[in-house]
Amino acid sequence: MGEKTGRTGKLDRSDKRFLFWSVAVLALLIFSLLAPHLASHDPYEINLSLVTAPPDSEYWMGNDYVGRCIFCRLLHGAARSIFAAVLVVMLSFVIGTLIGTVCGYAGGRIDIIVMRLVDAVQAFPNLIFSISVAAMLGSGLKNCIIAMVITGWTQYARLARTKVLDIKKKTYVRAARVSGMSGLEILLYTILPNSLSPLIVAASMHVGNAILSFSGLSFLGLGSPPPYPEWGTMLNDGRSTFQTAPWTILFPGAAIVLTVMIMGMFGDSLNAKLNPRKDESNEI
Amino acid sequence: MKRKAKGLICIAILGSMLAGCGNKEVSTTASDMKSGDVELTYCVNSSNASAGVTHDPAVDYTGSRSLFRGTCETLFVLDDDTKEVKGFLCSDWKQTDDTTWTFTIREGITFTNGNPLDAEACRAALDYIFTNNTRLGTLADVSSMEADGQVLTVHTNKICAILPRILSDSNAIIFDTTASEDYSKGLVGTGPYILDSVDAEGNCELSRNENYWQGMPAASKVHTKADLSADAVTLAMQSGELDWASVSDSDLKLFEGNDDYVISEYNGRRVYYLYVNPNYTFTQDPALREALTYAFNRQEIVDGVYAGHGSTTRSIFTEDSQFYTEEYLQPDFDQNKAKELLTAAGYTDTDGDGFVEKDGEPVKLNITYYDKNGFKTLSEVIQSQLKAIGIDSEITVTDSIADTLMNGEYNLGTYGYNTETLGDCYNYLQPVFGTGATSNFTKFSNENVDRLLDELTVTADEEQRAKIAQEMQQYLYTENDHIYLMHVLNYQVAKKEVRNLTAQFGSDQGDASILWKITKE
Amino acid sequence: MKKYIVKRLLWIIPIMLLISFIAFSLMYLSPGDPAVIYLSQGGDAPAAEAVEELQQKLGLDESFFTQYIRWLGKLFHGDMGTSIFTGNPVKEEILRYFPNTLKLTLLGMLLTLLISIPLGVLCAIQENRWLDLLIRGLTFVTGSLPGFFAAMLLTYFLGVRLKWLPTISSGKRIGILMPALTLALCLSATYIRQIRAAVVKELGENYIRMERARGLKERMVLYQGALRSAMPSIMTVAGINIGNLLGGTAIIEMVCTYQGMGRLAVDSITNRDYPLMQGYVLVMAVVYVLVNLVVDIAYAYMDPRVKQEYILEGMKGAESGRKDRKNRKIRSE
Repeated sequence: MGEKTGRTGKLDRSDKRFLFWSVAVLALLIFSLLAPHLASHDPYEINLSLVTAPPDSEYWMGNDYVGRCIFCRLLHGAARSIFAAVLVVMLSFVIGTLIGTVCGYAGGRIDIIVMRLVDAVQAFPNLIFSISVAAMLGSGLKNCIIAMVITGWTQYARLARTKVLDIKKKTYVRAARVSGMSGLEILLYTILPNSLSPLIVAASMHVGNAILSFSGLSFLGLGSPPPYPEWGTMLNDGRSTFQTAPWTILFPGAAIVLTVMIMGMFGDSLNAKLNPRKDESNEI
Repeated sequence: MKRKAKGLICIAILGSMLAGCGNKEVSTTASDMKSGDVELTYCVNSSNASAGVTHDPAVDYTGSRSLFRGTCETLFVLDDDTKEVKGFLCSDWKQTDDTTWTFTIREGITFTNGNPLDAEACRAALDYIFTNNTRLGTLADVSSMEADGQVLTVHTNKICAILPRILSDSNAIIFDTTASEDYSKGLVGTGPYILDSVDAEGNCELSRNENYWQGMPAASKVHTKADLSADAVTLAMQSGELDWASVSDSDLKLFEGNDDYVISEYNGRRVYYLYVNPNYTFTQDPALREALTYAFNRQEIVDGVYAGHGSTTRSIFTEDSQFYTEEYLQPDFDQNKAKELLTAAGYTDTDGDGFVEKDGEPVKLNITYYDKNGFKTLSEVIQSQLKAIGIDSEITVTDSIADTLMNGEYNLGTYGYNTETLGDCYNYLQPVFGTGATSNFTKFSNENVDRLLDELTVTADEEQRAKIAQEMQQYLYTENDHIYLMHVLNYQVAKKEVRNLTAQFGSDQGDASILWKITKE
Repeated sequence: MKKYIVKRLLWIIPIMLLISFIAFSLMYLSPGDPAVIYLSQGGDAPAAEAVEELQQKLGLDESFFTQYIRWLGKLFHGDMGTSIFTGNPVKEEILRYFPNTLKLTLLGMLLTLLISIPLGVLCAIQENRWLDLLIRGLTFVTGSLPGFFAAMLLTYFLGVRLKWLPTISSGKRIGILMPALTLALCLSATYIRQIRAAVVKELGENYIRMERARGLKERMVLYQGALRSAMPSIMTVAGINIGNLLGGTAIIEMVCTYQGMGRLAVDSITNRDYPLMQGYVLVMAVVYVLVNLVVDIAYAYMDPRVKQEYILEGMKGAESGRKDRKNRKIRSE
């Protein structure tokens, strides 16, 4: 965190960028929570006389394959789609960081065993792993989240561990130890805060990817069960009608792309702020 | 036309694009087929065929791969319209006693490797299939077979009235069992085309059998694509990669009104219906099941979910079927009646949430679907129709519907079934309604039904069979454990250049004997 | 160095054991019986006896551990088992599909680099001018496309509308272009940005400025030099990406009807084809370890600055996930 505190006064370019995208992300999150109240129709109301009807003044994004209002479904699906991804990232972050930190700090046998587990999970292609977990637990948003966390924590664990190993050697940790702090205290007050910045950057990049992964799982029919609106599922549902009714795929697609873009820009700007010298080259 | 020209240029540039649309060297006269270099490209997409690339007829429904690629043929075919049995490789047949049939194999036919087609060859092929393909083996229930010259005598364990129909099954293909050891890589048969190669993915290259017994096959080359998803089929039809394909009803409008394509429809005798589980939670109550039979607006389903590509039904059989009877039908849609029945049985909305409760417990039904045939959409519409009579429901999807239906954790399950496989009703009625039968997921049991099913096994006369089936229907709907919704129509889209193609070619029970004539102008 | 490589290769074994155990447990705990699924493909429910018979034949009636141990035992003798669904040996199925995925991945990566290097350098040259902003803006859009959406759009426009490429990728040699282009479209976003950043940085660094001051007018040489210095990090990412792609192209393979490992894996999961799935994860474990090893070694050789440090660290036995490497890279700068 505190790598760059010396600067005072005016905001520099990376600060401004970061501020802008933070506000954008915040606005997006608030919007997704308020969105259902903006809906003009019942997003679950099936109207078979309006199957794939084109946009008009009443349903200005058109209607889906059973005549539901796409606009209202997008609004209702926003919170579900975005917060599912955020939840995946938060859970992965917390679990992964804790495990990684403990491994890095404790070392020894635990470290070796856990890191082999990390290796095994990472050797398992993410999507395939998620599908296997979803096959076991059944489809649905909750199970998708679980499946993605099971694969997602490993990157944080690995990152946290490396960072902790690094910091452990630093003088201030030795100083803390000499001053009589307990292991847990050292972990909590010196090591963890100093290892967070790359983890936060990774997390900010992860949100967009998580949204994309959700749409992948929806494509395979593992996402949100009908009739609940979720962007990935909506996009997938539009697959069979996209030629005759492009609006069934255009609007959910645009919503996903826009959200992933905002999240990506935010991650980028955060990265630029926390690691100013490295600019964008860190991103993998 | 400009688009097409552009397409051709692109093909030229890219070098090796599709032979099917690249070769436009039209034969000068339609009758002079040999001079033209017609090449056909299509996809054998039998709805029942499983994954994998094997040609071994022991496996599942893979016989259709050889049948509709034109390498192998069957003793019998069914007429596309009347579903009557026609001899194909078999020229004459009769039932000599209850358990014995004799089949005379057509003279003068050879396998494409030159071996003659005689009764012994047929016996060997059928013996292999009956022994190794459980489904067909059980169906035919053959005890022994004897071959004498061109005459094949078949003895069955039980009385088997419909053996010729069974032999028209797409898995009852005749192939030269001596030609190779490994049947999975392809078979040698008597058909109009010879399998040259199968690639790793199951795409096949075939060439003309110059000595084909019906005449000179129309195409010089046939390319068949591996199993494709419905989306892929539509795109490939649009891009011109396939000459014809069976297209899903939702994509049909992409081809309607386009002069480059011809759409033909046929009644595949498939019925879409709901299983109502009488052994799970709320649907155990017969009163609720009865109310459900009035709950579904079938016309709305046909029009809204399937864009009108089908017809509503309150019967197992289609109206033009000989097994159909007006006398015994399921109740028609009647929302008020459904609500009345619910109220009378104690299902009322006591907490004002819009959904009914029974004895204070909220009623919530589970709808299970598998992702095929538009059943996802169907489930959503079913859910909304249930909501209209005040019943709450949730939807779940399953990978294996048979597994789900057998294990029974569902209230309503969507299902699609061909109720007249091999042109007969027995293959549907017995497994689904026979006491303890394999597909009897609802554990239906009725002694009258069992008695009539037994009668069917011994009755050869088609009219008599129809009568028995009709009589049976008075018992079939009593438990309200199946709700028949609609019969679907199937569609085939072909390029306008394609000739002599029938709508049902390549479908489960389509007549494969016309393949040699299919050509392009 | 040799010792180090051998040590890293030996890690394949525990990873394989662990991953196969995880995969086996996941499949075993999934509801749905492979025998029933196999027998009910045609839509009819199977007879109870037939299910039992098949279960016995496949050994599915035995306990979890017996099944797993037996599978391991066979593996020890080089037998990966037989696929429940296709009836073919798993080894054969994998040999059939793996080359397809490998080809797709390599071609996808090649196309990605072919797109990204010129565009990335162009962006760097035009830094913060309109062309740079436009290209970078586009990369944010293409990089945010869900894979199947991108595949669908490309299939529709290139296949149906323009008829440039077949919509069915299997069967024709040229068919591979559609999924490969999709991959390139999705991947190039990151690469363009990365190459741009790297080149901008290299151009800004002193020794290059000195060269320019000495009157070296061949701009191209400059960019080439910059690109060369940026190459190691790009190649590292490409290497890791290749590893990920070998298992991560399932959806694109499905949309484009391309027969690769991803589809194989998805099918084997839906069909509960235990042996095939097990075979798949084993291959993936090997690929994972090998790719990481190769990337590490290549990285060390390409960037002499880290070579020394890297080997020292490597000798100490630190495993090298991508994050470790990233960290090393940061430190080395």
